[in-house]
Amino acid sequence: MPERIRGLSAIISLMLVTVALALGYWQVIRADDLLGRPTNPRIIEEERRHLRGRILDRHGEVLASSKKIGELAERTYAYAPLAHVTGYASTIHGKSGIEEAYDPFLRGDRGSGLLTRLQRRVLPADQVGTDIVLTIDLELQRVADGVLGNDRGAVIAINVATGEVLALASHPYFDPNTLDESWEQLATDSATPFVDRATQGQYVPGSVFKIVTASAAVDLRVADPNERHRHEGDLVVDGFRIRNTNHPQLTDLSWAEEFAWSCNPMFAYTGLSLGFPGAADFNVMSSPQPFTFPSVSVAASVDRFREYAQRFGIGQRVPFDLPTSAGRISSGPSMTAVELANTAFGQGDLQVSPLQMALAAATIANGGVMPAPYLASESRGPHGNTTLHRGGETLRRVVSPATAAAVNQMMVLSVDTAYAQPARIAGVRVAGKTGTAEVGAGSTPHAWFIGYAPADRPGVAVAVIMENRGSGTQFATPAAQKVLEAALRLGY
Amino acid sequence: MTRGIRSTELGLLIYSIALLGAASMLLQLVRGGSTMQAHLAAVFVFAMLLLSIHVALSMRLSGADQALLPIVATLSALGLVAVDRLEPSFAPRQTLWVALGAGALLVSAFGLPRVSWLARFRYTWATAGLLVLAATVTFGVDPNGSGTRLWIGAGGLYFQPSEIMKIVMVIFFASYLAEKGALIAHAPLRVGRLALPPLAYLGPLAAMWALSMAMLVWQRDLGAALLFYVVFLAMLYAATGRTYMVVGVFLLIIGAIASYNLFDHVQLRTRIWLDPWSYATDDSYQIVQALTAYAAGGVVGSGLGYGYPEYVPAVHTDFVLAALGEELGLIGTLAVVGLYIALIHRAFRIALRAESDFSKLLAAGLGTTLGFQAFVILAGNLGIIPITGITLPFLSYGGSSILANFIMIGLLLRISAESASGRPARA
Repeated sequence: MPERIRGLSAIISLMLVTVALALGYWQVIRADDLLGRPTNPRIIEEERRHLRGRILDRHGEVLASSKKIGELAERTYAYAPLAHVTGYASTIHGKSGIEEAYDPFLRGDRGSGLLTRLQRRVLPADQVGTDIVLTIDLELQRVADGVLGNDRGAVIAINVATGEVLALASHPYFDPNTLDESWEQLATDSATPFVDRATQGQYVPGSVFKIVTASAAVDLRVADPNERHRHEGDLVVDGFRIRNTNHPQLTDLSWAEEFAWSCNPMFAYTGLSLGFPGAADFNVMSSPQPFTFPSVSVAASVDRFREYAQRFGIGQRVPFDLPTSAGRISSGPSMTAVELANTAFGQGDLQVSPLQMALAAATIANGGVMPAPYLASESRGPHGNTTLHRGGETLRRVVSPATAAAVNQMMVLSVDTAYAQPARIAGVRVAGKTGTAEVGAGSTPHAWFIGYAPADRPGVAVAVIMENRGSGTQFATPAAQKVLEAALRLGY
Repeated sequence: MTRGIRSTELGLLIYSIALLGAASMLLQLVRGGSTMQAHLAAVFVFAMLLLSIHVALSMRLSGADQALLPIVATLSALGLVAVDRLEPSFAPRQTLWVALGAGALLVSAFGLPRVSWLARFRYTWATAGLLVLAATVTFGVDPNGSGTRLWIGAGGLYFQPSEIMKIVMVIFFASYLAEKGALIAHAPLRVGRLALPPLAYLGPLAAMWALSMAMLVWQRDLGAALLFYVVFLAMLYAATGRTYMVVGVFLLIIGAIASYNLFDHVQLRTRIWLDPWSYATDDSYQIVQALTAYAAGGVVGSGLGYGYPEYVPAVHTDFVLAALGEELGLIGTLAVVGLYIALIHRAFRIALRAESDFSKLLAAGLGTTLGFQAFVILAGNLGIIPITGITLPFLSYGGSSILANFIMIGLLLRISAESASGRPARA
């Protein structure tokens, strides 16, 4: 019997040793995994008590801050229209915007090493988050929100030389202060107030996209902006007629003037010509009779066009502090001649975000190099400051400096003499391009403007879109003018 | 009956009392409030109970094992701290149960003329035990909404008969096997390579198996059924050897498969056990929250009073170690497991040194009961086996369990004292 009793003792001891091993497994090896799961209520419980860091504008204006009410912390957002930038930090609905992107900073995480955890347990002082300083200029932001008013749409202003986003407005917005109470209503609102239109809107660009087609044509020497030609007629591509309606009184003009007057058949023809060797003959539409584009393969033109659209970042997510959408050049991998013709003047199946279009303008303003946009410049906390983004970084060279200079001239011409005239600012050279994007029969077009000022040095680039508002010249352009004027007044 | 100084025990008991005192003061500091006097009173009562037992043992059973009481005292101190931390309103009652447990320990250690006296009335115990169990099946109530009717009583005083049944059963089988063990071990029947004992002696085995299944059917008490059966098997093994183990384990597997197919709640528990994460918000909420609490504790724990153990349902009964795991960390939980290993080690040491076969089997049975019960609930806590509602000896809140466990310790002390006094004193 004694050996059997010893055996029993060993078996039961072994069972308890298994328990000890399992304790080590859950309390050490799997601990971080379990604690990070949404089933861990401690995360929320601690967040309800911790004072998150503040979110500040570039001059230190408080945009979001927390204070203690009893045991629990309460978050206040000083300027609700910036909801898409600051985002929200809700214990029920999670986080968005900067609150989400810089959560570890705002929470004030000091790492999860054994020593830090031990220290936190021995000295369970209130964890204090670090502040996040944004590139937003609250004063310029107010102007941007003012020009949008009750329109649905977006305004972005970017410092060309640094990539700092100075203003980012997306309407309609929501009030993050009352998020939990109004969540149901906001989530089901057909106006989609939760969508950040500036970075994630998917819009047909219309004529503002002619900047991309023009850049390709100049860069490839398919077009000389100053070469004059005669143009009276429409263009017919595979039976699809593109009407010459934007400059009916002008018949003798330069290719730059075609851009300034936003000529659709001319830009369709330019797009179709991108893949053919040598400069294109722009006199083909000289007679009032429609010109039929010859039925030859435009595969090379499609490739060229796609290449330049990709260089401008269409179809790729912009690396940014907030989530961005990629947009698309076409619905499929290939394009027919009709599709290329339409896409070359900004229609077709193109989809872009206002951020992508603002960066297109900034690229021209920056001598052909696309600046890297950013919102968060640094974190400031009790343990020192950390630089989050250094200004002046770039994404890539898009076109040559000479091409950028030529397109710049064309954009200035548009503001000085043609459709973009409402963007003029006294004493400053402004560059710009209007757009009136058709969004289907029976719907009012989207009004677009992209441009920058001053035109002779890297200043501030803007993109404005107003959904279903009508003419770009009439609505988006004066709005952009107010934003550019305010930016210059503020010293950018 | 011998008199003598038990200095090892006294020295170790001071640590248990100091642990309760320090932890109570810590809780007082963290929580604040006007509970200081209640805390001091509880520590005082606890110290007086332990010292009384110590003095009584020194006076009459000085040869009894000196480590047993300090181990149990430390576990009980942690139990008192856990209840005070988790359900402060239950703390006075838990102190009262520990006091009653101490009384029961004294009665079981000193009340018997000799340990062998228990063996003489084994059919009386067995009949009484079965009657009480039958009464539970018929008149059982569920006073705290646990979903099972395992209690007998009325007017705020409830008692769980299966806790006392554990002891009755161990006594009955120790006595039965001490007498018939040798007979059973002889195997005249041979079926192939397997040697079978006379069929008549398979009776108790089959009866015990049937009783366990009956408890499962009528009371849905998975944990108790498993505990009863495994303790019985272990004692059978200790008494007769391997043959019965093979048959017994075979029957256990059949029982497990049958109950899985017959009962929804067994299937549910098995499903939760195999994949807790898929049902984290409803069916397996409890186990997922318990595992998260263990994880939150990490190595050093959040500190007493700084965790969130209230997220684990039934934390003060079935999941008390999860609360300790969160606030005392791996250091604390390993200490608890270490105490249980030390406890069963002492119990089996007593079994090895006991004079008679009955005492040996009784001590081994009691050791197995305490050790396997701790394993079943802890392994369930940690996802090693499916969860069963069973108390963690000395740590969980619950009166019947504390009383029964203290009685078992009293019996172990008495067995160890008898074997020591029967032996010539070492010079």
